[in-house]
Amino acid sequence: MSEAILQIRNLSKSYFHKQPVLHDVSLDVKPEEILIIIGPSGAGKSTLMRCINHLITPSSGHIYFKGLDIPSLHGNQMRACRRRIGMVFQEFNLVERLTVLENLLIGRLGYMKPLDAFLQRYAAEDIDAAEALLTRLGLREFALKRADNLSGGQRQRVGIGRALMQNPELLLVDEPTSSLDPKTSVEVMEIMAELARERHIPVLVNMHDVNLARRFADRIVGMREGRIVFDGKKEELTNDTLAKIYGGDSWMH
Amino acid sequence: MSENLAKEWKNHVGPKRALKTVFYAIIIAALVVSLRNIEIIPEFLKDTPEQLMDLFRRMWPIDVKFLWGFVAPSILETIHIATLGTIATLIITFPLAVLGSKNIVRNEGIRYVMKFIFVASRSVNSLIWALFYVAVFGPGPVAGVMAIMSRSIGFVGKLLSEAIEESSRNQIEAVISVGAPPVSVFLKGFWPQIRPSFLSIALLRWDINIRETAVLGIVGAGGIGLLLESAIDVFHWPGVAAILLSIFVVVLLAEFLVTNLRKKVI
Repeated sequence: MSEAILQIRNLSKSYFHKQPVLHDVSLDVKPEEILIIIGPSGAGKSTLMRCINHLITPSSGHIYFKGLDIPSLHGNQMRACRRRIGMVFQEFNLVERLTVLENLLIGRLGYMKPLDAFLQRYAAEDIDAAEALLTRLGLREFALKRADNLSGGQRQRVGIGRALMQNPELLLVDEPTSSLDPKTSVEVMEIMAELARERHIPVLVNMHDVNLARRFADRIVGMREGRIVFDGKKEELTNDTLAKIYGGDSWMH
Repeated sequence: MSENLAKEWKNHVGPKRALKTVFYAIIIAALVVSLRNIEIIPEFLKDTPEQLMDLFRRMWPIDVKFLWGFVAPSILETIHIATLGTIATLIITFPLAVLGSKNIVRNEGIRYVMKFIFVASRSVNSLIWALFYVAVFGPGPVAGVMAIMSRSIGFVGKLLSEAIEESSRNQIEAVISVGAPPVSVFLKGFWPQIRPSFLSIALLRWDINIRETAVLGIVGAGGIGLLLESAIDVFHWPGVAAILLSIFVVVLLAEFLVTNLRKKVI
């Protein structure tokens, strides 16, 4: 495998003194891989992801993204870095009162002047790109409908579309299926994996559903209490390691 | 067990009943004390029906010539004062409300300054503001516009600030995560969420301002109030009737318009 896209080194984060949420985490994301982090609620998966996008500043450690050390960035540099990283959220986080199309175009805001955003002057290429994506996501007919008219699965597909509109070099996906039913979950994961592979974008996903992780991951990382306790291929994920990640094994039977 | 709960219930509800009795007793006492204090003279109340009928008889028929010649332009001026005052308020208050919202401005000092401006504005009645501005600018509609604005800044600022603070953090975070500059985050993250409240607050305040402007003329700040005062001063009752009727119609129309527009906005 070639060099990592993202290198996390000795990352720690604590909100309260001596109660670390992340404890000395080191992790590499390699090009074009789908890396899924599993673990119980409160294991620090979301915190890790938010540190990568600098929505949270870590207490110590480094996150190298193509030569940039993300936690040390500020202002314009930080925003220029953020627009190269797409993010998909558990609650979809669509702007409810905007149209589906404009929600996708939000992905371009990092490249636009605020005045153009104010006047809704989006570039023709951007609208074309949005149309192509909406067609792929099966949402073309909803383009000019308001986002709050959509179902959960449709909303999450809009969330994926918005992130891809950034032409990201990395996709961060935070619990994408926790608000969806099992069938929709698989459909959403499928279209996301497909689009990411086509565009050669590495994907880092958080989830607690082990079966879904097994189905879509190239590599799985297990987290517990702010530490990485497993890192390997999905075939190596045994019941013993699962017991180590989630604690106990009674839930498996 | 059930016996125990019955006992518990009695203990729970008993003190509350006593408290209620005390509360009603205080209200009745307050009523009695106030009535004694303001000294109503029964003789003056006795002929109220005749007085009322007499006034109505003097008011009827209303002065139609006066209505078109004087009342209509004056009513129009009242609407202009209210509208201008409301628009000026919105322009001035919008940035202040943004600066006063804790999910936009972290600095507590700035937020307290904004809160202070809003409270100061609201604590003074528009009539008092008008007295002040009539002294500064002289009598006329300018003083009226300033008075309406000074009173409205606090109302609009407080409500708008609250609307901004109630915006969903999730939607904002998504716009931040794409690397949008702060102004764009406001335009595409905050604004779509607060727009219905903003329009609703603006319409509501305009409606209130029309009613408030109607009395401002009494202290010389322009509008229909001025005419009303002079008409009463010269006992021109058919004219007074025309004025009261037009105020009533305008307020009713404004209320109707605002109610329907607000329904559409939300």
